[in-house]
Amino acid sequence: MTTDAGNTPELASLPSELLCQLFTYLPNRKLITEIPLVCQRFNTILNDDKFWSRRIRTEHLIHQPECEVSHPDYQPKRSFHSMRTARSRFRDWETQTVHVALGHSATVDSVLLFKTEQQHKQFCLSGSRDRTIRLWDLENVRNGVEDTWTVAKDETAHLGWIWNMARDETTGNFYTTSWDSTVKSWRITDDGALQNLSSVNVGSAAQCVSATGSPNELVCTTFAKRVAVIDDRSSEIVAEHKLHKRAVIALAVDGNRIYTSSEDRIMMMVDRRQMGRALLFEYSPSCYKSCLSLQRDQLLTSTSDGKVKLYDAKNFNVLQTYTVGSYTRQVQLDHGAHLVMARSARTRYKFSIFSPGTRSRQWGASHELAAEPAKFDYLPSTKTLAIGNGDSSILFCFPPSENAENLAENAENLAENPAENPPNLE
Amino acid sequence: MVRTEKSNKKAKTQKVKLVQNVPVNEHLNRTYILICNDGQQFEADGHTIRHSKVLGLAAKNLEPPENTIQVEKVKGDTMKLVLEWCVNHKDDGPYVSKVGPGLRLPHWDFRWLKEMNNQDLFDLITATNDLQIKQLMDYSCKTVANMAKGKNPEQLRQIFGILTDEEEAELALNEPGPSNA
Repeated sequence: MTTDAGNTPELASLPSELLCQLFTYLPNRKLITEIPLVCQRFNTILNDDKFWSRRIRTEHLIHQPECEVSHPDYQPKRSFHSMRTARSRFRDWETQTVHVALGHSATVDSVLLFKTEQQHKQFCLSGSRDRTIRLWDLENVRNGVEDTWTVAKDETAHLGWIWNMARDETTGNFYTTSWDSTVKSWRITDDGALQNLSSVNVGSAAQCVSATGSPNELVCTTFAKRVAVIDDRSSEIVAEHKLHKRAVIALAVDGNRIYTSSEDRIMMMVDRRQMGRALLFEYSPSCYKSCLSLQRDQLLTSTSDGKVKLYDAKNFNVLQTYTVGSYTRQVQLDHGAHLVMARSARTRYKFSIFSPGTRSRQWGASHELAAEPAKFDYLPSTKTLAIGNGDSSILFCFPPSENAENLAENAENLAENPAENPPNLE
Repeated sequence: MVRTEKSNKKAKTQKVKLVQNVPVNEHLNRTYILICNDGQQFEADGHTIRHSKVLGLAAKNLEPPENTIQVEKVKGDTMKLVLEWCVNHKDDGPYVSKVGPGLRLPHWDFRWLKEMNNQDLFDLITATNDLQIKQLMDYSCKTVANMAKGKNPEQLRQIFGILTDEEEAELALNEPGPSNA
């Protein structure tokens, strides 16, 4: 590759379409961090939404719904990156590092993964039918002895099964709901203990809880058809509705919009400022929605007859339906993928990943899980998956280690240029 | 096997199809003369140029005994390189494009592209784009991407002869234009 002084070849002399084509061969991380720094032209091309939108369409074959594309927070570059990450993360279930965490003595009905801002450490909170809450340090799970995995626990957290947990990003407090009709708020003290801050009695077994949308306010649902908004500071119920006819089993909150679904096969949306009437309403004759997951304006739901349905959250238009098994337990909508936990006809559960958008294709799946899973949680920033199981264990799935990925890349390079490089794995 | 009306019809339609196939691919066996924009002429046969969509279509539309194709967008030296690659890949089967960092190059292509200097490589990429040769396009882009791997922006500018924004601004100042004239 010689370049003589008077006749420097110019990559910049290539037309822009060719440059775009060239960019598709470079690793994604570089395209976002380093290449835009080379010159103004590259910068413009790489920050152009159309470049990334086209790549999403052609490379991943994803068709984004209108409500996603027209949302003000939508950035094709970020979405492309999330899709690429999700796809490579779950491409092969077997290459993950899986740790089985024992400790609870009954079904672990809720798991919550979070990362602390300051120290960038990963934790997992788990709540179980044995009425205890445990805090797991994931760094210890990856590297340490089993005794060090649980860093805190509360044996008498509730007087009944603990159903769900939610965390407030800004304050770091977390909330738990339980069969004993209470919603409790907790804090993790500086020396790592769990401290109960307050408790609200909501009248009957409390099912779901969510801390997003409005500061100092929680939304919770109960088995007695109630959806209540609780003020965290005064521990009082400030608003509620009883529009459902049966237990309210799924909840998703975004700002002022509260989406709920119940065993009465109705899914509805209310505004928290005016809980008396439902703004959106959907009645399904054959099945109910077991789980709701909301991202921007897309609502991903799992149905009790084994399907996954994607809705436009503004008007409940069905964007897509696909079948995954005989009963879909939970879904999670991530910008990069649809994560689905479903039971196949043969009564075994499988975790699968589908591409986002309106024409989803399966990107990967786990083998049949040995223990019946109750709930899963996925943290995209650290690519960790936690599954709480019916046999009281928790499965922590970490992405294949960085070393393994580098080795694979080096092996590829060696195959391409055998004579040039001496066999030297760095 | 019982010979019924239906099976007879099927046999007839199949027969008709076979006969039709022969004239369509006949052009592959003829030789063509390619004339580049700087006047250089090259001879190539149909199998060699079938990789290029543009040349292939042009060849199909030529009635024998005509056999010259004008290639205005490509200059002679680059055409030589293109033909060298085409001749090497004359007997390849259908190509399935694999976009992205996972693409692997065959040995000959890898070495050949690596030996080329940058200017020839860029001219080759422009020519392949004009002639629409998907396979060569993928391989040459992959080669450029390999050259860019692991380099920080400064090194990239050096290798590819890209000016920093300040240098470009300076050049623009010195060029004759409405404000300088």
